[in-house]
Amino acid sequence: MWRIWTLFDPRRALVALFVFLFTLALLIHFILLSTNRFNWIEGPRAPAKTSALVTHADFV
Amino acid sequence: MADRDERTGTLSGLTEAEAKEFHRIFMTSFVIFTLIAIAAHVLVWMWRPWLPGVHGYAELQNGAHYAQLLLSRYIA
Repeated sequence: MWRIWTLFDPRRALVALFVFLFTLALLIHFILLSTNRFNWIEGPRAPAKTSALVTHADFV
Repeated sequence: MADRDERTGTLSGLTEAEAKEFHRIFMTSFVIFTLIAIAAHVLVWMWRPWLPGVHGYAELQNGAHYAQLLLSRYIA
């Protein structure tokens, strides 16, 4: 396995790996924040009001 | 065709000893990173599992509730 570093330059490989992992982590975290279940900051969003639930209180 | 390094005769310019040394550090870092990632995944699964059953996430919550009730009967 160590022979891979005689083929690939460790400096370039490390930069590529860090950039890839950071981008992937950022992508996954933003996807999770956009969901209802896994948003750890805001929690689940309140369900949207439907016309059937509009009451008198909405008009006064 | 990529050029071989004049000093080492390898494509990356590392000697065998250098490649082995770098590989040891790389694998140690990789194992530590993987262990931290596994721990983080276990914690998130405990918080909210991400594979719902056929009846959706509500089933998991009901299942946990049921298990809790069952356990509390034996404990209390």
